[in-house]
Amino acid sequence: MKDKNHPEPVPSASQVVVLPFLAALEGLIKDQTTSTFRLTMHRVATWESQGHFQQLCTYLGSGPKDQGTVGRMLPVTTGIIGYAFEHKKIARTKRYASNELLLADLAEDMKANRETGQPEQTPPSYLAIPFVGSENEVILVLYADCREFNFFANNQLVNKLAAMCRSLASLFDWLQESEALPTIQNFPLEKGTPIKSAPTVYRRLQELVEIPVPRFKAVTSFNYEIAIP
Amino acid sequence: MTCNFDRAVEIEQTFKIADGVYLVGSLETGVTVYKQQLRAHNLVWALSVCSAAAVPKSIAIVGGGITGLTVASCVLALFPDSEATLLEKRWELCSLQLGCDTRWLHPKIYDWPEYGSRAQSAQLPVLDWTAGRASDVARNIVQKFGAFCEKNQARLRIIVGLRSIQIRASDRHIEWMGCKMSSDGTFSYDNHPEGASEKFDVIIAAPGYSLEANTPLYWQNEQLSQPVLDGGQQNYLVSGYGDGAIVDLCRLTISRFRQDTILKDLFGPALKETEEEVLNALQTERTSYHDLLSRRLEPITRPAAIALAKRIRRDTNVIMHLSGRNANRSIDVAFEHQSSFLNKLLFYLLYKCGAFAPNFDTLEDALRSKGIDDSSLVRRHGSSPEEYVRRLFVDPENVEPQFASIRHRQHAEKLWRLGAFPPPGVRP
Repeated sequence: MKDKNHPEPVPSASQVVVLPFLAALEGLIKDQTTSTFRLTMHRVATWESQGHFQQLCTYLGSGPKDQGTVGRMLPVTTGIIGYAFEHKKIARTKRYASNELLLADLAEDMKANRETGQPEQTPPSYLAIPFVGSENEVILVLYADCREFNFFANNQLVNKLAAMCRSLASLFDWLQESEALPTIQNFPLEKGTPIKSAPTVYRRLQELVEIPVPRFKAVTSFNYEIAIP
Repeated sequence: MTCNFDRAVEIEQTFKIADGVYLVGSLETGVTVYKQQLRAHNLVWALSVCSAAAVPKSIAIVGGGITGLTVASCVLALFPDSEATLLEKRWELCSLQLGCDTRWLHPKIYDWPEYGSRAQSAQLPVLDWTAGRASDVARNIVQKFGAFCEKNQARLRIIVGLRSIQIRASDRHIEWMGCKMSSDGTFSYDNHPEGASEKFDVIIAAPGYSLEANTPLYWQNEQLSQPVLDGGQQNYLVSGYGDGAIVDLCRLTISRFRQDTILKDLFGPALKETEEEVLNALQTERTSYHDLLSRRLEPITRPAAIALAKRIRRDTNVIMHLSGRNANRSIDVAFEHQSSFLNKLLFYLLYKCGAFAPNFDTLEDALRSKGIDDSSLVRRHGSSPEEYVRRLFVDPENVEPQFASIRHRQHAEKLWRLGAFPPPGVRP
């Protein structure tokens, strides 16, 4: 029997500082598609000196919000977020000439990953934007998927999303350096060696994009908590 | 899986004092609420892995403090088909901290300068909490325990106000006289006490420590950190040099002292760099703490002492009684003790500020010569947990031989499998 992966806690303040940003992205994406989509943020957190992804907040998007997956920990080689983590670049599903071609590649990728699901059940569009720290380490990754074909192959949209992420990174730097909101502070997390397992990215499907990633100057880990100044 | 099993067996052994009888934390030093909770998670996870083939039907948890509640919640989370009985001698759960408004609890600050030590929340999967007054932390923990109770009330009994309890380790038998408390999360009392005598498959003792003798208890509300309101100066004598003594020394000597903000107060924007420097020094230097603080870390401690000197209380006059059990004759004893590095640092800075007068007489002589009465004595000598634990058992000869092999072996690290603990009401 496979061990269940129940969530480990994430401070409420860490969730709430990214949720309004994700809600803004949700609004932007809703304006572009009627298909179902999800987005969330993962942070890199340490467990027994090993770094993992940890889902930072609920999925936002077209579906209902659910705290059930908040805090689940994943190896840093998981799916497209693992791909973005490894290369410190934006990763997305590349443009396909037809849905059939995409499904054919997806079927191959799923087979390579030993996944048993149906390609048709899998979202045809994924996006991951890593937030990189001053020591070139990944601190956060924005994750999004969408049921619309070629949705994130749209450069204009990805540029817009990346620009928003860059502004968010710069805002967090300012918050950290200025201590403008002293009752919410980013308490440093333990540093750990990234824990890896077999990469589960869809290698045929996903591509890296040469769009500048959001970079932190002052933020070295992501752990906002309520504090007494 | 094998890896998990081997690790679980190893962990289980560090808590085992007899077949099916376990003791959490009481024989450890440098104990904090958070570390006790880590141990509780580790033990219950290890038991769940080790006993997968023969799941215990009945589990007794002795002690309704934060550790006991964490053990009980972990048991409810990982043993969905077992019955749990929680036994607490007082009338309230978390009774030490409940109503304690003068103590501050922080999950990891005693690990400073380790990374993450300043984080305010414990980030535990079971009974998580955030730094605050002890009373607020206790309330938060009891409330979270209530969520586990509510989802598992049919298989949980809570007995409080124990008039007697006797544990026989040889056959895991407990006799008690106490009152039932509702296990639906409301914690209301049932009518009258009743006696019972039962055998359990597993007993987990989380009794904590015996209370200190002859002193205002550590968890009792007092006014040490409050300014002297008549405008005069009050003499105090703090006896001891462990964490409890140094915290009270800080409260008595540093104006507006708070455990959670003192580092920021001392180092300001340079805190992060200071932290890295201190961590690096601790990892690389093989010298005494006193030497480390006065030499290698002098560029850090000197300006900090200057800053601290401006905050030394004028309304108190504190004598630090350091002779201890061994008739110590040097201030160095406070740096050799197993207190946290943070408290060693604060002690050193206060020493450099001349914020207290060290004293090495016997306690009686010190009190007499300084004219200090019991109301101004803060005695932090710790307790005698071993004897306290021993007295819980009617057959101590069956548990005591194991004390030596578990003492200081219960690691306060997250050793359970990542994602092992489900939230209340969800099967593992």
